[in-house]
Amino acid sequence: MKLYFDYSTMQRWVGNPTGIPRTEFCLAMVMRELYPAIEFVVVDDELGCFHLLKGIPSECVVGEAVSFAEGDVLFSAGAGWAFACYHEQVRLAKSRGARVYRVFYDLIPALYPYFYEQGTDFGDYFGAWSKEAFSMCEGAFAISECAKNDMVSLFDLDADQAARIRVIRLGEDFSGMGAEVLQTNRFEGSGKFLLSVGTLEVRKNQACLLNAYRLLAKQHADHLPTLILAGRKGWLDGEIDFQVKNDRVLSRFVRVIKDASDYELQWLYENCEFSLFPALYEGWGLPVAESLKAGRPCISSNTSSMLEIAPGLTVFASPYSVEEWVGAIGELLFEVGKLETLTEKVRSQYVPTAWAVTASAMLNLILAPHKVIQNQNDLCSEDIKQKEFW
Amino acid sequence: MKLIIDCTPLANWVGHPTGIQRVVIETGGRLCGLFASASLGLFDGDGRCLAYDLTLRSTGAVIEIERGDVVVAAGSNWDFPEHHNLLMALQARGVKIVTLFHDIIPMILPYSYGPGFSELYERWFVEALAASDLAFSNSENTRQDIIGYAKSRGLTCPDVHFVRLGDEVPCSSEPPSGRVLEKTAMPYILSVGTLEYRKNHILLLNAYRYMIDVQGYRPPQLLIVGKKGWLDHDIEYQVDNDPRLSGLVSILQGVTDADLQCLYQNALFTVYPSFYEGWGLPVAESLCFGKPCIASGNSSMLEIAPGLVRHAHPLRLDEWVAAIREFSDNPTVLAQATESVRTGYQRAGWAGTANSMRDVLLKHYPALL
Repeated sequence: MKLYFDYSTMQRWVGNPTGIPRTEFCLAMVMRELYPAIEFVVVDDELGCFHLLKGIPSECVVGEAVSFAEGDVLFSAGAGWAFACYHEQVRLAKSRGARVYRVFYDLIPALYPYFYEQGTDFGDYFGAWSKEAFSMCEGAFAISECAKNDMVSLFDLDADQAARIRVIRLGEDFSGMGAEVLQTNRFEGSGKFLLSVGTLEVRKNQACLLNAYRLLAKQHADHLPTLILAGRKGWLDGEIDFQVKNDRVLSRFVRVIKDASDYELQWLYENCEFSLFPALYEGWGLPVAESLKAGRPCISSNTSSMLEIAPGLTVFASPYSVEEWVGAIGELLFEVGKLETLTEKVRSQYVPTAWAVTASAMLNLILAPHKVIQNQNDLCSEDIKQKEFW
Repeated sequence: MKLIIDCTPLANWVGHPTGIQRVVIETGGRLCGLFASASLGLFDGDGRCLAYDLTLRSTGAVIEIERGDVVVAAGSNWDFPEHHNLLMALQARGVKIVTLFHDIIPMILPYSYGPGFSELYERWFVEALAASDLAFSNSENTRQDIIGYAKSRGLTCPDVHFVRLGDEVPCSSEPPSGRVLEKTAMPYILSVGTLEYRKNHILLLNAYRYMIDVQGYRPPQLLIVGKKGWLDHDIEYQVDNDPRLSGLVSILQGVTDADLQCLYQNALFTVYPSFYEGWGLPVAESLCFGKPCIASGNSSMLEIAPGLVRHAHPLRLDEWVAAIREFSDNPTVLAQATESVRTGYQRAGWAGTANSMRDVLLKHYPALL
């Protein structure tokens, strides 16, 4: 039996990984520690079929084509929809007896096509692609209950099929690939600020925060901290940058940062008063978890997976209702003791998930018939949680 | 002392006049009837002022403008620097310039216009204001804005008088188009206005999403009429690519007067969540058709028909959802509001506009009589 880990998405990625590539990278590193016999593979439309990949992460060399055999496992946490040949190659692996496991992040392109530049064309393709991917899976991992529920309803699954989906929680202990030598920080000494991290795009809904600040500035102009929006420009962002520069109120209070380094982001999380995440819909909502992990409360939308991250520690507001954001921000800023109490609660109660825990839960399921890893508790021991994988 | 109504904005007049052209035609014609000394004039490319005939749409003899004469200008010259410079030169020669200002929104919400426009508009406004011996505004709010702006910049401000412009409604004996007949077959809420940041259509889309997703409520369909303008959050794209809005929200462009008339006549009510207005024509239009309007509670929109317009804050979604649902869920409430509009709204005529202008002009320039 061989366990093949599909590293195709990271293999094509340049620079410090974020989003799906980051998850693929983290799982690859941890699974390699937990299960040294793991083999990494890569596919794209030029290669045409899965090939072995040696030397990850920094000295990748593509080797010979993989010949799948009965009982092998093909695991993927990548963006396979980018490759036209993908499903065909997975089908081929299955026909030779391989079992397939895949991580499903979300079905947002199918549910909200207008969040993406390619609209319903991409939404329809992505929905159909995901459904077919699921139909070939022995088991599937969803990154939230919400993502699982969306799969059940969009793929129209019965209870037995739904039982093939296991919800796992993504790890949070990624601290970069260690390549950043110059750890400079341009923001030290900027005074009090609130933080919102995420691509500037319609889905992340920063426009709601601009409108909330327009209302807040009327009531609290002298006591309103800066709002820092950290994220690169994405699809349909409502020209956030232009609005901020040309609105006489917002230009005083809002700062847009499109090129923050991981190091700076970490500093921003640790030093903000609290963070804001008004996304319309998420598969998970990493910036919520990152904020809590940094010991800072977060006001997030009351939709989708954001409700699952830390319900007792997060303040919720509807992403469509600007006044709910004005209310929630105002409460934390101006009601004496509120922010201190909540910050203390976050610091004492929030427990970040380690990638080792995520990965071992997945390996246990994938390798279940072979019982390679006997006791999950062993894997979750402090030793492994603390282990420096990066 | 002569009075000249500047008809230069009519130079390229084709088809049905709207906006500034309409104002010039309606007030110009009437002012000529009210003052023996008044004439319509159109400035040509050589800077001459030619007598203008509204009916024939043609120019005639040269009018010699002399020191002390009064020229009433429509205040739309930010895009026509040559004509603007001509008026500046007349003013320098001792001719009195009277300007009708429509708004100073580019200075209030600069980001609601494309890059560069606000600066261009402000330069024109500062010069036009300085050159004006007397000014008219189309709303009390615009009047306050002009005075406030001049004060904050230390500028000399002429007397500014509010005149209510006549209500304009689309009117046609042609039949509406097939697509409009199809859309208006089901009950709908109407919103008329350019698709741009300032008109704030995104609030309506989000209010619809909120009602559907959060409240599990299906509101009546929403018909949006407007051409694409600056920074509209790609409303059309959002509607086309959001399954929950598909079939429920439609955007209609290139509609005829007959279409617009039909759309107003058959609407349940109208919504107008604009961030700021100089006047707010679609609010008055809605009332003229006997349809209640939910409009933003700011700027001139508060003046159009106090007591007859329902207001909501353009940034506060909850207020819009509540107002839309109150009308949609309660046919009796809607019927009462409709009845109040039908019986209570006094349509403003152009004769009133011209009379107000005459009174102000006479007070300032008794020699015009």
